Amino acid sequence: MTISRDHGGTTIGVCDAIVVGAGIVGASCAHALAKAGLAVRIVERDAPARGTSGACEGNLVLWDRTSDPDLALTRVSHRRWAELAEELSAGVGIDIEYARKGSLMVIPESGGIDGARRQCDWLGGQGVRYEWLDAAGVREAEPWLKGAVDGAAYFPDDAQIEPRLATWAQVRAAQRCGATLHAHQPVLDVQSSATGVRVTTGLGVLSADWLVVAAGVWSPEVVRSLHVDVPVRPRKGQIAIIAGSPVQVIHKVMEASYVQTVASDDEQLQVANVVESTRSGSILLGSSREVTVPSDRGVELSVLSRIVARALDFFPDLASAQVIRSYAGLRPMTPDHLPLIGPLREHPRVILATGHEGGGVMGAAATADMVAALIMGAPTPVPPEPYLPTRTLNPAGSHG
Amino acid sequence: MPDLLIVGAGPAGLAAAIQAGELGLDTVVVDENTTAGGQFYRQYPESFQEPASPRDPQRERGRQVISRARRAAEFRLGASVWGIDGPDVWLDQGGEPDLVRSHCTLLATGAHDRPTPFPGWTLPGVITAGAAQTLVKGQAVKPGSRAVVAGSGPFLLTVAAHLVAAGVRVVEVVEAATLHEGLRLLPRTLPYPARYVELSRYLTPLLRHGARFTRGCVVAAAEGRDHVERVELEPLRGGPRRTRSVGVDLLCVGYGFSAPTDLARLAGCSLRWDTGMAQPVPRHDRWQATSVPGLLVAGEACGLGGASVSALEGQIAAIGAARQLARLSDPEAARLARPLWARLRRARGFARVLTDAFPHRLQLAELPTDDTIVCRCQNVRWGTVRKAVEEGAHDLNEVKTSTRCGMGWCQGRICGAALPDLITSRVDPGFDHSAVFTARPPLRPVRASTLARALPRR
Ligand SMILES: Cc1cc2nc3c(=O)[nH]c(=O)nc-3n(C[C@H](O)[C@H](O)[C@H](O)COP(=O)(O)OP(=O)(O)OC[C@H]3O[C@@H](n4cnc5c(N)ncnc54)[C@H](O)[C@@H]3O)c2cc1C
Ligand SMILES: Cc1cc2nc3c(=O)[nH]c(=O)nc-3n(C[C@H](O)[C@H](O)[C@H](O)COP(=O)(O)OP(=O)(O)OC[C@H]3O[C@@H](n4cnc5c(N)ncnc54)[C@H](O)[C@@H]3O)c2cc1C
Repeated sequence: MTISRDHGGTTIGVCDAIVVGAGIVGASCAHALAKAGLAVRIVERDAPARGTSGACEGNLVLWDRTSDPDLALTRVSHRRWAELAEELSAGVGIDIEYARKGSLMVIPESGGIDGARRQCDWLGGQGVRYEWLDAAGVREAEPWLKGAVDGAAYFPDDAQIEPRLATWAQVRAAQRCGATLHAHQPVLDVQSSATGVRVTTGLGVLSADWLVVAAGVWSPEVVRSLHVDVPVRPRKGQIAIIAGSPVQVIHKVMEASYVQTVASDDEQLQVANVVESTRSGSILLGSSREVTVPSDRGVELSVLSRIVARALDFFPDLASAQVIRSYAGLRPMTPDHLPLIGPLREHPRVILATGHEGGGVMGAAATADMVAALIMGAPTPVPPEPYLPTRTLNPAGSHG
Repeated sequence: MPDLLIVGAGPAGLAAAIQAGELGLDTVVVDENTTAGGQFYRQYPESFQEPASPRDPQRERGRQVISRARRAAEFRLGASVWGIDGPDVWLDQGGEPDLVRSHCTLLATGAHDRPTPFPGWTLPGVITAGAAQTLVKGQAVKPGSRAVVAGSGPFLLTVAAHLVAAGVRVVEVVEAATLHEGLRLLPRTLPYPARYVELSRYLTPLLRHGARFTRGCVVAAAEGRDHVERVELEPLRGGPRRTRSVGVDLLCVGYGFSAPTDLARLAGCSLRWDTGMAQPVPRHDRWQATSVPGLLVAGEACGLGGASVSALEGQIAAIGAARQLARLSDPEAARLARPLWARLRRARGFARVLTDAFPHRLQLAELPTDDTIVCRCQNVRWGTVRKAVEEGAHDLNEVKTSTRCGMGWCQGRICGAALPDLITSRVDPGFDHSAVFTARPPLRPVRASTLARALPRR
């Protein structure tokens, strides 16, 4: 499959595809491509899961999607993660902690029921399973959720994975199919032609037929030398972690207004409650949204304070639990809240795989299948047009 | 808004407070302990009835220093700092959140025992030398009845003497440094006669007590069912040539000190390598100013030195703060600091002798087996970490993502200090030894209700 095209000089390697970025998206793409038989090299500036995929949650949730194509890709991914969990456990012995625990979209008494109903009507129309719970039903499903609520929609199929483990597992699986990981090697320069790409790293130059850019919020920097504008901006999110909690959180619990914060184009700080428990016994409290710059990965204490306060509105018994840690991650956001998957207009051998904002863990599995299909010329899991970087980007694409 | 916020009321913080008071600075001192004094001047809690005798001269002296400092500054005890963000320092005072904004901040947060994993170190009855000292000196608690005190440095004698005074039978004091190493450095200690007086104060009661002294040995393992019953002593190269077992119900271990740098790193200070502590510490200039404007550091928080070095650095830091605040001109500040710098040079000279006499020992890294727990909070064993590094983890943060090591209650303060040695000497010499876990707030566990009320600024 490899077509050797040495342009002379410092070329140190030739392969079929180079994947830049070993976050959940790049790692998943590398696995899919290597499994399809391509010779793959992963070039990562740091190490796997050190970008946003190591500073997020692992929700595989359907109801926070904001448009038809968004939901379509997510549903494929949702199914694929269940399969991948088994495949990765059997293949590389890593348990990615897949748990189909269901999620609750909680409607606080302070309002939001109309928006929530509209969202559920749309989801139901698309075939997403859910069930309405009244306040008593919520109490029964989630006994520690004691804040005043009007009710909730229960989504039994929603799940979670451990994103760091999943990223590592995808890297290991790619390596088992022959891929090479070049960690601690930032991409310094990218050149492309009609038939291939040349990528400069600290090690030397790699050339390949294809380049997959999965560098999250740093993707614009990676292709800067191509003089293309990749419309991805960082939307920062912070999480607080509780250990030794007296409270049990059974499902994934998110407040209904979360979906509005996802869909909004507001660049200012917004906080919506997301609570999940993990297998290690900790509880994650999220999260915030705020547009920032790619170097801003620090936790801001005033934001952390608001996140915790909001969680206590729903789970008042968490008041006595100890917060032991926090972190911040940068979601790669696009103007229309849809990912960028496919070749660049002027550079047909450069494929973008980024821009999943707050759903990159969820979206990674289907994105990888899509990228592999585009490169191999195979049928794509869903029609690719809505995600192509060549689309016209209208701000705020929204359903209904 | 205060001119100077001092974090830590040990010798460094107290000396800084007194000096700052003399310079007319409006000063606040915070310490998470409910009593001031830090490690060296540790006091009983106020509710304690001081035992009539014997009176501890160090505690006496500490009481005087504390009372002078309290006249010079506002004290907030029982307040732990869990975040820093430019001029803002976030406090947790018994569950009440607070934020102090000051013109200058001095980190005088001190050090604690260097954690040294070996088989059995997590057994009940195995405690650090510092913990033993704190129990005896700060709480008047007798931590066991038959003890071995092991590790390296003069601090072992201090602890052993305090244990004896508390009624513990100290059967053996086990020092890792060989007699030869000690004798070689003897001439360099001669200019410091006062230290001999200090030494004899601890040594005399120990000799009278009949404690055995062993040099060139370490504790290779602690054994017992639910509590330590025996310790296995093993010679280091050049020491006496036999391994033997000693029956105890208390093992106190202290191989020197390490300084947590989380607060400094969160503030963005650049670090330098300190050979005495064998770890990175905040870099500072001769005014004790760090690389972050308005932020100073003094005492054991910025390198091994002992109590007198700490106090001198604290005093200089207060002058440095007054200089940064333009309360002192450069020449005035230099005039005040010059004699202190001279004394500091001398005091550091002695600290260097001690560092050379009781060097940091990489051989200790040979002790843990695959089964030995290295991360006590998450129960991660050495074998798991070893495997992660063999599979390509380059620094501690990568070890953390793949093993959960460092993710628990202490946020890597303990395992983060022990792991670099283990990894560089046993798995990967190229491992990034200076890299540390990323510091993120809260630096101490904080109740959710405290955090929720922590006064958002926007
Ligand atoms: C607080 C928070 C909570 C979230 N919760 C969820 C959730 O529950 N479910 C969900 O689906 N999504 C969630 N997300 C979103 C999700 O985390 C992201 O969409 C996803 O991690 C993006 O993955 P990525 O692989 O595109 O990017 P990253 O994980 O950021 O990977 C990009 C990689 O590229 C590397 N790189 C950058 N520049 C270069 C270069 N020049 N050369 C080489 N390599 C380079 C980086 O080092 C990095 O490893 C959350 C995000 C946040 C912030
Ligand atoms: C157990 C022990 C015993 C020692 N005994 C001796 C001895 O006998 N002789 C000797 O020369 N040296 C001794 N040392 C070394 C000793 O650390 C120094 O000599 C001296 O105490 C250092 O002074 P300092 O002011 O730098 O720090 P410390 O005395 O350690 O004081 C630091 C203070 O900062 C406070 N603090 C730390 N972090 C925070 C936070 N986040 N928020 C609020 N407060 C905080 C602590 O509670 C503490 O009171 C000992 C060290 C230890 C650990």
